[in-house]
Amino acid sequence: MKLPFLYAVAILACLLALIPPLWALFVSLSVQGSETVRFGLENYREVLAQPQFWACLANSFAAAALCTLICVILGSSAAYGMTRFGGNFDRLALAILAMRMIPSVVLVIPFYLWFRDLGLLDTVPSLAIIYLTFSLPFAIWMIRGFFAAIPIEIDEAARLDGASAWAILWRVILPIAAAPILTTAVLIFCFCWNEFLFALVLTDQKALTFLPMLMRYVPPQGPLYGQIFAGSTIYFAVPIIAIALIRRQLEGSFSTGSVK
Amino acid sequence: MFIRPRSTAFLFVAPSVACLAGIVGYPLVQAAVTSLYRWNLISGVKRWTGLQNYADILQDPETARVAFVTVLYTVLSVAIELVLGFALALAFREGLSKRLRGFAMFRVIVCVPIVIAPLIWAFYFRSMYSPQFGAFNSLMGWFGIAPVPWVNSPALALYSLVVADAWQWTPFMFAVILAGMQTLPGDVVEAARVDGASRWQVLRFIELPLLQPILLVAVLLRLIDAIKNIDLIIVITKGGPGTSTEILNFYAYRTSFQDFQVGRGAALAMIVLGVILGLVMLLLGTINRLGKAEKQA
Repeated sequence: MKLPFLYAVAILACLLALIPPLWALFVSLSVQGSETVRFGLENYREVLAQPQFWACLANSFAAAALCTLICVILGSSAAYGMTRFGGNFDRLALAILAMRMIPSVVLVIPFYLWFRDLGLLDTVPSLAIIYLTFSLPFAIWMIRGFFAAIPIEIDEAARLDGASAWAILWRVILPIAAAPILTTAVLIFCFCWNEFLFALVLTDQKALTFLPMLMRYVPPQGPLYGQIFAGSTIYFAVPIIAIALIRRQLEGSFSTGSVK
Repeated sequence: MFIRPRSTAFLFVAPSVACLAGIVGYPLVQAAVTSLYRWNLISGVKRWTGLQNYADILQDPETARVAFVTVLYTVLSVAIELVLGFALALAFREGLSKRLRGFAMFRVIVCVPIVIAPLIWAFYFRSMYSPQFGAFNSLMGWFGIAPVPWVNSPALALYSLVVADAWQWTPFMFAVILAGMQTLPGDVVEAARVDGASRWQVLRFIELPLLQPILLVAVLLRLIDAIKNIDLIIVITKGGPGTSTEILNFYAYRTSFQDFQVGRGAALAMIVLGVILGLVMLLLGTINRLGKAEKQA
């Protein structure tokens, strides 16, 4: 293929990928004047001034962070058990992977009835628990792959030094796999951060998260796009900033790794 | 204390397995049981009906239409994503292998849509499709083309949703296929080229068969996600105009949480699960085959 053609295709693809977010940025920055439309930050100011915006952002963050934490702890321990002691867990691993594919719409009905009877509707921890249904299988599956790549001799050396199985996991294996686990944690956080259906059905006031809150910016006469897009631009920035922050951590954990 | 290794392994695995049994296994059983009741959450009437919900769904003329719309939507979206993603991956492989300036960065930019929340993506398209001020109609207005009712006409709405879906997920298909292409053994292709095979012949007879399992995995993953899609429909059309964009998953959601017929809704959800389960079986089979091929290589 000719070079100009390759560049044309690549640049066209980039443009298409960026058109929707750029359109949203454009809408969020334009302000309806009396006669004309001009640029301004009014939409952002309006959104940032609403206490509900901050409350929902905090709820989204708390649910995603809590779920991620549980996933890393349970997932590492399960992956450790599956990879370090012989034993064939391939079938279990496949079954766990299949769980991740279960559609939300099946799980949301029993969870709704369950949480309603227990009075747990509209709470952040209950949302974090239902997020485990798709993120824990992912965590186990990913971390299992990382642990499998660590040579078993390291465990044996530690065991000869008298370390217990727990100590080997916490002091030896986890530090070695810290970087990929952190990457997995970021991915899980993003999945939870972008989840919509569970949050829509299971939260209402106290634990309302950001995405179902956006649905309330749709009055009968049509959505308030300026504010929706101002809010979602900020919302979208959070995972981007998280990834940027963790990048340094990632490089750091690579350099302190014990397998070289 | 001496613990036999095998039991230690189960000690570490058990918490996760117990947790998944509680939050996935148990609700699955609950959903199946719920689907056997006629249960209205508003009136609170709950009556055992056995398989009546499933029988009703099968007899309902609505069902055939929902099934048709679901198949049209998922197959069309995934087919477009596959073709465009594959073509794009070919161009990018060429660019990357020639180490052309900027292609590494272009590759990242193309993947931006993947990380945007599907709900927010849906709002992007609802606004771009809006009849008067939307991006598409404004753009066409500059060229003197009459405005098109993208999502307000029953004939067009479903295709507009397909476009929105393909626009977000073609990059995913592209990323997976490109990654697959980069693992292809270069020497086989080299040898074929030396033997006088044309570029098209190499692609058709060597690379495509080698890529087939990866393509299958990507297609199945996308099919599963497209069937589960609900954000686009909740935000843009709510199943309308009329019922022209009501796909099965949304229909199950609406029946449960807008009509509050949880029994019937659960039965519909179980049908969604059945379809997905079939696709997952295919997917796991493919992954298994990939693993075996890797071990042989």
